[in-house]
Amino acid sequence: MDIYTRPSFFRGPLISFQSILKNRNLLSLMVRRDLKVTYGDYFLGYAWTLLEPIFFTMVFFLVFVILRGNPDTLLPLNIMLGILIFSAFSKTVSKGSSQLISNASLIQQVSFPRELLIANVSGFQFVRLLLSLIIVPIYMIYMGISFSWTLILLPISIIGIILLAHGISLMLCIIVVFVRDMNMVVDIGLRALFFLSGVFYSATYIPSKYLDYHLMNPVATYIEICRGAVLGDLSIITPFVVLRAIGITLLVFVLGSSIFNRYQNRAVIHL
Amino acid sequence: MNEEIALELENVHLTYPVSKGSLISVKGLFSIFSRRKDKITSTLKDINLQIMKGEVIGVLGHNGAGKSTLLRLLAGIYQPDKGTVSVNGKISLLASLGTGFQRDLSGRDNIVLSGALHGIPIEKVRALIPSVILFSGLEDSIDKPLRTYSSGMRARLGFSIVAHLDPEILLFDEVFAVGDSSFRARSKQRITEMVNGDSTVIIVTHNEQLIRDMCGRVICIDEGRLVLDTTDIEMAISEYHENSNKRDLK
Repeated sequence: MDIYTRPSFFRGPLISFQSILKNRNLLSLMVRRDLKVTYGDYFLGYAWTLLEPIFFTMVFFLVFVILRGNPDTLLPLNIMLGILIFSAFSKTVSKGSSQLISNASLIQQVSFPRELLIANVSGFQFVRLLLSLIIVPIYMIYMGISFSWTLILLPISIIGIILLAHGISLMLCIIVVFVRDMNMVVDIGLRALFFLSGVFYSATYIPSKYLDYHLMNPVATYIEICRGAVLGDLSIITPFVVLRAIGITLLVFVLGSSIFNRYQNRAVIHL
Repeated sequence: MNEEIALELENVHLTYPVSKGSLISVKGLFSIFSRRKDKITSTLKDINLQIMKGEVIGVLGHNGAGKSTLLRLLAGIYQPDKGTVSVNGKISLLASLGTGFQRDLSGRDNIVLSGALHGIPIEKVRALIPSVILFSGLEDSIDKPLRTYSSGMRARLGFSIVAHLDPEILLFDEVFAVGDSSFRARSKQRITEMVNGDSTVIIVTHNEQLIRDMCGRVICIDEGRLVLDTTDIEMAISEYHENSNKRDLK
């Protein structure tokens, strides 16, 4: 017997986790559906996951290396990694935060775990990021960069950035229902974060007295973890910095899923 | 809760925003300072209802009375602001055909997706595919993208999926009579089978004949209140007419 009651605020993360575990087959079906719909009809299909970061890297390479004359030969790879990680974050938050509104008719007709709609976006971007990263070893071989043991840190960056974006999306998708102007704030915030997270510059360019402030931004930290893991240089990424980013991510996820589970039923009426 | 009770509502109250969407927006900021109190309305007020297993209940009321909101509350889509809703059994709301359909996927893929969204395990949905296709009569176009379907074909596919759901409690919200005459006959027969089976059924409709043919009990809702709960079908229909006339005079 089910009795519909308002869930406790702090049970949110547990409810989210149990719900996703219980409905993992449906979630997998939804992610595969989105991959099929997004890439299935194109002539180049899944190759677009590689072409997009390559194109933007070429643009930045043109501006910073050729036109500005920067001698750093690793800059294109640094930029590419920055773009891949930030793009996964930005697309997850941007699409995830409007998921309740864009699926309003479905939500009003069928009772199903609504966190799946957000998890679907996060799962899709996770797979997309993994596919895009195929370009990295190819580029490393082309440039003669050796593979380092530090590559084992790469999953921290990939899982961390998606979990962080997922937690933020859970929070924002509820707020956006009540305050539609928040969509614009999200858009502006993501653009500001692009310039503040070291996407097209490495943290090595930041004066040491400001470096710690820069790395308080978990997005910047995950980008630097990714760069450090690929290039085998962990001079910036200390264990403290990594643990702080993971801590912030878990906090955001707990807060996001708590807010989502507490207020989703009220939000549905306002759709 | 008594095991014979399928659904129970106790002192249920639900408020609903008059204008959908934003509570706070640049436009809305002006109305916050105005003295109008009409941003929120009570859709359901103090509803008490007990439905036993196997009952077939009709819900009558004019447009905007709160019938669909009541069904969404029973289906767990909405939660009450006050009171409790207890549900004893697997419940399905059939409010719209083709829920969750994706226009770029084939009819076959949409069967799996829509069935899974309705809570059927994916393996079971896959096993049901041949039967759903046969019922829909869309054998020739089932592997084509849904965007190539006419609205009638989509409704047929949608109904064929919901006709294969096997819930213990069925909530119908005006989901009748789709497709051409032969499909309509098949769908009516299937609805009758579902109603005559063991399921508890709640039907929201303006079709009085359907209420007479299928329901053993009728409840009338007027302005969010349950004004009548009776097994006298004709009396319920008269009450419905009376409320509608009063509303028209207003």
